[in-house]
Amino acid sequence: MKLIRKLKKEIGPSKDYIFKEVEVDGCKIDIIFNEVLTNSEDINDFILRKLLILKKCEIKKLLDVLPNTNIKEIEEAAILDFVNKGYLVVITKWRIYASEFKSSGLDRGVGIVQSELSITGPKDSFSENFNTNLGLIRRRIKSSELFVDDIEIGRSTKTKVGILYMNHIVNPDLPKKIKNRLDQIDIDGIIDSSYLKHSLDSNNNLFPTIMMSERPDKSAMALLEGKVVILVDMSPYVLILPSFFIDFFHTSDDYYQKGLNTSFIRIIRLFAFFIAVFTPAIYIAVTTRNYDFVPLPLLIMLKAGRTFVPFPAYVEALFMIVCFEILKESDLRVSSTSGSAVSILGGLILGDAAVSAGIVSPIMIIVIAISSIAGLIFSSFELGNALRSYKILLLFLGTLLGIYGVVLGGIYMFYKLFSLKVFGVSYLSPFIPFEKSEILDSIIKKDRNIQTRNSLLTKNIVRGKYK
Amino acid sequence: MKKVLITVLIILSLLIIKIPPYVELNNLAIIDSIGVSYNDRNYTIYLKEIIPVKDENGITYEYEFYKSNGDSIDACYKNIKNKTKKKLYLKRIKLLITNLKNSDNILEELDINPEEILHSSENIYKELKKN
Repeated sequence: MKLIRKLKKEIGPSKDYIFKEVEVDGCKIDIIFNEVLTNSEDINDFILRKLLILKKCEIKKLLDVLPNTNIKEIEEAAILDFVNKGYLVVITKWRIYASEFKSSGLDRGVGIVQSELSITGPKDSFSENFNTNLGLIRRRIKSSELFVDDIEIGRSTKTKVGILYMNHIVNPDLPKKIKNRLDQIDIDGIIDSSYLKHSLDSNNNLFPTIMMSERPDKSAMALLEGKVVILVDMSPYVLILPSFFIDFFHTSDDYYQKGLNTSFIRIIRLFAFFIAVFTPAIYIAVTTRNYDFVPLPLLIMLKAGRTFVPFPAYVEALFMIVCFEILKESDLRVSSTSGSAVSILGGLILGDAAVSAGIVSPIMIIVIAISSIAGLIFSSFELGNALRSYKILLLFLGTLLGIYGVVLGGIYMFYKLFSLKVFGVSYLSPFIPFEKSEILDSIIKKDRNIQTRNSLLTKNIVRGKYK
Repeated sequence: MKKVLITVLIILSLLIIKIPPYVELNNLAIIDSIGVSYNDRNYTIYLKEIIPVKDENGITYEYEFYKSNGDSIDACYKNIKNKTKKKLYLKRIKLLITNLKNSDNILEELDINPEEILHSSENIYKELKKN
């Protein structure tokens, strides 16, 4: 058959494509599937056995006679596309059909949350399977108002991307804008949801405006807030947008605890943000230029710690920051069993040895450690990177200009925060513009009788009342 | 336009604000006390630097003394400044010992504000060592 010869030529030497010709009531039928993407047993049970007992007249209406709900008629040009998606393609003399038989062996199932740990909240996390991820959200929001707009991105990967939103809550312009931006992507492939961030996050700001999450509960919460969630096939992280500055200070656990406790921990996170950015720069500024800011006993103690250190303070600080980043990176990349060894070797042995050898002062280790640990309080990797960048920028400014440089760098950072807009809404919402109802769920969280949404995101602001 | 304006403002502010020089703590001489004696129209200044030393028992303090003679307080101070590589840090002085009855001139010339001022007719260096 000419079509089969053409298809075989297109797939080249690949042996995982199976071509089979079967004769049904004197009529030849070709079936094509990829054995690694499909489940061969299901194909045998539900298609081949059924096909062999069909009559010639029934072959013309395969859609009705085959016991599969996912069967559809397709064009000749799309045959290999469907085979590559895990479909079985049946080519008859009259029509071409495709039926889904995806192999379940390629999925790891629903996993446990790895990066956004919660003490009291759900433990399930997204996986690489689009349908599983969608299911995890649908199980939480059992409403037909949850719309899923599917698109395909990537000329080679043809990755399925789903834009999820609550139709009665979301600002109708938002999904349209997002879809338009995604439609403009012309690339051979996207391997992970992170690939989409570049086209959705068009500003040059270091602060993230798109939140990545592996938590279905967090995604469901975002949808109910009037946000849009983007699911990408083969990616265990969804994109939540628009995300504002304050969103990175919130965790799922915040909503499972009393408001007072949540407020306390959020204030701690805000402190951690400032500690992460400003501590090394302030330390360098006050120990090299602005001694007047430090009480005398502390200044003497700092001087005592640096007695045998041969390097300038800023070199020492940079050395420690680089060491910490190397340790963090190696801890992330190696397996968990070796990870603890890396932590012990790096944290205890190297740190202690560096102080004993007089390469760094103990106070510098404390300053860099507290700053780095404060940065780790945020689950967002991107926010951590932004904090690191500003930390190094301020460190240079603190070295060059002292406290004045730190203030200047701080003003620059806040200027970038103030000027940033996410899909037309200020990044510092609900502080700028001031949104009274949302303030009660920002740095502080008040247990309220009436639950409301951010009016800058949606017009449908009332979520409900606790009776 | 906005960027140019901000750059100009930053440059202007850099010209207005006095940025202290970069000195590592190792090169900073924290002066704890000052002694000023005046004899035969000649001034002698003693500076007592506090040097913290860290050892197994914690922090211990050692002291280094700087001495200079001259016909004015300013000249004495400049002499010491030129002799040492360290930057003299006089802003946290605890004690001033002098045999002069009026110490206002010393405070003004050295731009210091000590916590305590002692007027003594004894040997200033010995008094300084004692305290």
